[in-house]
Amino acid sequence: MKKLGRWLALAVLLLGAVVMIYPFLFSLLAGMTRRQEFQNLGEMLPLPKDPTFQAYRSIFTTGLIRPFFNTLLRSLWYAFVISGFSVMMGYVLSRLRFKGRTFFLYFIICANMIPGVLTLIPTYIEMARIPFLGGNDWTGFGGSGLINHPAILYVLLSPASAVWIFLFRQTMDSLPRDYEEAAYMDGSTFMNTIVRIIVPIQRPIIATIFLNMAIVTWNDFMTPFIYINNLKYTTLPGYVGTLVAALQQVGDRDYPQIFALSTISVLPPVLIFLFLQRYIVQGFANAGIKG
Amino acid sequence: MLTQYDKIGKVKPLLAVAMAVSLTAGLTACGGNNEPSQQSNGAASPSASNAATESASPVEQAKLTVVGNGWDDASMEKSEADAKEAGIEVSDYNYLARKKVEADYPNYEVDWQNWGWAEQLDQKQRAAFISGSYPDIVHGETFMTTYAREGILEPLPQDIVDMVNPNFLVTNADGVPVAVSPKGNVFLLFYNKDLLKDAGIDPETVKLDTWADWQAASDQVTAAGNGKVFGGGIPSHPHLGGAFRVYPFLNALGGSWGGGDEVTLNTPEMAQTLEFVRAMDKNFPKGIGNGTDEGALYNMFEKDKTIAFVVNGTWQAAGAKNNNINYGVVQLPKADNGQSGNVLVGFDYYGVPAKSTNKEAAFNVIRDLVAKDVQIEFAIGTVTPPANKEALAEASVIDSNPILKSAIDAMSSGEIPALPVYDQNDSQIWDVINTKVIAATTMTSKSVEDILKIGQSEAEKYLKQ
Amino acid sequence: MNTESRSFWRRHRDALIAYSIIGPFALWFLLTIGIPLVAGILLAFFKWNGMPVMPEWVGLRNFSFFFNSNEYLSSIWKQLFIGGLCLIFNMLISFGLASLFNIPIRGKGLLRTAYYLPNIAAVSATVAVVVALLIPHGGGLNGLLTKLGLEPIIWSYSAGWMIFWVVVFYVWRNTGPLAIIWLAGLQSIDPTLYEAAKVDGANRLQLLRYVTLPGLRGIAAFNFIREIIGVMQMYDIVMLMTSGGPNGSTDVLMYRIYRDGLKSYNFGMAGASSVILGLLTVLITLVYLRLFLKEEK
Repeated sequence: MKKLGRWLALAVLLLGAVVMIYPFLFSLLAGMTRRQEFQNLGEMLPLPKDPTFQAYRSIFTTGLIRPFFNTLLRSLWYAFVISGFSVMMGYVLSRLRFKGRTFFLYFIICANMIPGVLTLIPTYIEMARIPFLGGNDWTGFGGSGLINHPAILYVLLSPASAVWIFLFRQTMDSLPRDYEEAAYMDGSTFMNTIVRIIVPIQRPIIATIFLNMAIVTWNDFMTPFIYINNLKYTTLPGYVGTLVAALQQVGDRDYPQIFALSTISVLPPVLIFLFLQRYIVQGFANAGIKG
Repeated sequence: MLTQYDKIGKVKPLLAVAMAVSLTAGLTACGGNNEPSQQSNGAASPSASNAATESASPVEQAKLTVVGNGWDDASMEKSEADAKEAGIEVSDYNYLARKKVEADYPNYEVDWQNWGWAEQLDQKQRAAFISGSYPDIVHGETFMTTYAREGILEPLPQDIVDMVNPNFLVTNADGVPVAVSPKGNVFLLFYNKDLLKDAGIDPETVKLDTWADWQAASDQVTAAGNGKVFGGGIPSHPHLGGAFRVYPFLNALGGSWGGGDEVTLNTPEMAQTLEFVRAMDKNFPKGIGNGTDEGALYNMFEKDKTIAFVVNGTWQAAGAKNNNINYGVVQLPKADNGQSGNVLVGFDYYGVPAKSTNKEAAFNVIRDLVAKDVQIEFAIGTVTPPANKEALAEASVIDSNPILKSAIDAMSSGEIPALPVYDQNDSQIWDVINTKVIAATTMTSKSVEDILKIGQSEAEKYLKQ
Repeated sequence: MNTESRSFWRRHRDALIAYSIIGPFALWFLLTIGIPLVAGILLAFFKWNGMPVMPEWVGLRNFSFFFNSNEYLSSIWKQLFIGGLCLIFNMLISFGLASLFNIPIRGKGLLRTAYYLPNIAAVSATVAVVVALLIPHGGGLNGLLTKLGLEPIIWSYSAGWMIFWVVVFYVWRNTGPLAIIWLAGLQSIDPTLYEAAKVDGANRLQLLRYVTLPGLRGIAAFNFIREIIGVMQMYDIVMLMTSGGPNGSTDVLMYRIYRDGLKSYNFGMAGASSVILGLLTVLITLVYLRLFLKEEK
């Protein structure tokens, strides 16, 4: 009886897993079809009769390498900055006693809960009218601000990033102070202690923050979709977003091209996930338990 | 976990301070500049820019950002690859124009951009205007009319205006031409002769003079097609693709959408048109005439050869020819009142924003876009009426294809309307018309009367907001 | 003098270090979230199209337009309805998954990877698959139906079907991570509690009711709040999959805000709608917490 239950559970999970993987497979295969062929295929699995790599190849010949590196650079930037802030602020909020500490704690928790809808439009206006940047004068007019500016990919902050600071503080809370106290006794400075003592001990949680930030940033297609309309400055998922949005509008469609691009753009995060999922998934679960 | 939330109240005082701070910040940001700059540059200096272009020599330096269709690096390569595969020359006007500009003005440093088409393009260009980063050339279809009305575009130099047929121009609120399209079109009715024959209709003598003639023929094909082959009707896509196809029929009855500060959906002409659209939609397989993807429909005509009639511009001729369809083409059928209608379609207007810092160079690019040699090559290669007067009159163009001739005839046969723009919330109103009026006619079984009543009140609300 | 400043430093060492670290982050936060938050609320009281002219003060007119338009009101309802369906199904399915994962089976690690994978890929890169499958003629699903001898379905005609696919995609993409959190919760419940309950003669259902669910209370609150905030501003899937169709039946408020703001440049209406949707989200969260805390007591 118990054994049967286990087999049943396995069967259900396997079936679900197929559904989960299926779109990736579809995308991969559809990228190898020809435009005309795909239009009339009518198959759940678009197996190309005469596979062509034209769509994949064209990604590397038509200037889409730049968006690829933009995505990479952006992911690294947010991964570094947010893990840096999380470590420093998490440590400070856990260990130091100062005025406003409780306020900051609540601030961080509440920040995580700010509905993004409230800031979508005003942030756009602010970025367009930001003084002194992108040709703007001090009144914020005259230029384009950060709209369509490569810097826009690096300046915005998502309220959801605050959750990592909170998570790191929680991990710090459960770490005994002995290590740092010993270091301070030996005359280690504040920064030195964090870099030499805390970072090595907390490596797993830092990896979690770093990898999750990198993947979330890689997948954020809305920022480039909204702010950038130049292939040079956009990101891969952002560019795919524009192509997919165009599927709802007047005009020509090149499905194989879209699917080839999609496949290439999900490849890096998926590879990272496959090799480092331990950290990514663990941190996610922790966020739930400790949050 | 729990305690975090029940103490939220404590945060209030600081929130108040933060609000006060950003309130002042917000106000100064908004109040910074209140000069109504858009109006002041209406007819800025056409003569000045004219004079400048006359003295301009090819060695002149300029740095430009120009938005167009197929002239970005990726599209250029794709055009070349596609043409090579098909064994033909590239005849895309953007492609030809870029080549010409690169030859004529080697010192121009041009950033060739392609921002897509339709809503997406409008959205991106709008974003650029609002943020103040004006490209040196903008382009597009219906929304160029809106830009023109809002005074965003610089008047065209007289020599460009003189080069082209006036049907290819967009004028601003003062009636001054501000944008030109290198191509233009009207709708014709294409049909697959083989499919008509299969349905027992003689394709050589078939009468397609009136709506009723067309409906009878299409019904017959659908009936004989047995669920495999369809007659075809009037598309009602839930985007501008639908509005464009419906307008010629509305126009034949003398109806219109309104425009400016008026929207006229709930009219007897509109009701009669939509009833016809609904009746004709029975000759489409479900979901084809009103899907978001227009491609599926034309694919059925060109590749699958399962739709007998399509309403389309001359570009359909190229597709039909490439796919070896034994096709015929006639002017759109006339309404019961004996009137025929049409709409200006397939235009791709190019203009220079008044805020551009390189107007002379930008106009030089537009000059190459409508230059005679580029236009002739484009017109013959793609079977599309060109804008250039000399190219339009060129015997090699007119004789290249009978369809091109009939389109050129239709265009010169009278005043043809374009899709109108509304003063306020234009895109929402078109959203209502496209999805809740036109597409709803064929996707739902609600009475046309109700659809129009709801559509009218909703559109009016947006217009009056 | 020197000793004085040194003692000041010593006395306030912690605070100075803390402020110098929190300061830059707080400033970043203030600039990119704080100011827009307040500016957005102000925006609701103006009429402005973004052009360099002074915004026109219109008081509550944007709000009264909102509450007098069926289109806006029904958009709120659509956001709540579609969002609610996404939330409920995601919660149930992920909980079911977590329970299955809690059974010791071989190859679980690999399976877990599969379930998490959709969340690793961008929405934009995966939603096109659904769009392509739903093509009425030549699309995969209708091809399958035809092969099975069934009538093809014109998905785009039916609001119900399009909502169904939006929900399917949402659950597909978000259920894995949520299941992982549930699972972590399940595993954090003290196994002796189960033993004790079993000794008392509790059956499976009673175990679930009296041991599992109370043990997951904190996790449930976390998950619910995360999901509520998520679905109340969900519009990317709708935009890419249905663009509000058919005939506006999936036109959720958030998509309307996006269009009002960034397509029509009607910043006032976008601001007013944002404020209403934002308040509604906070309200729902608070009501949930209220009920939840009450039960706790």
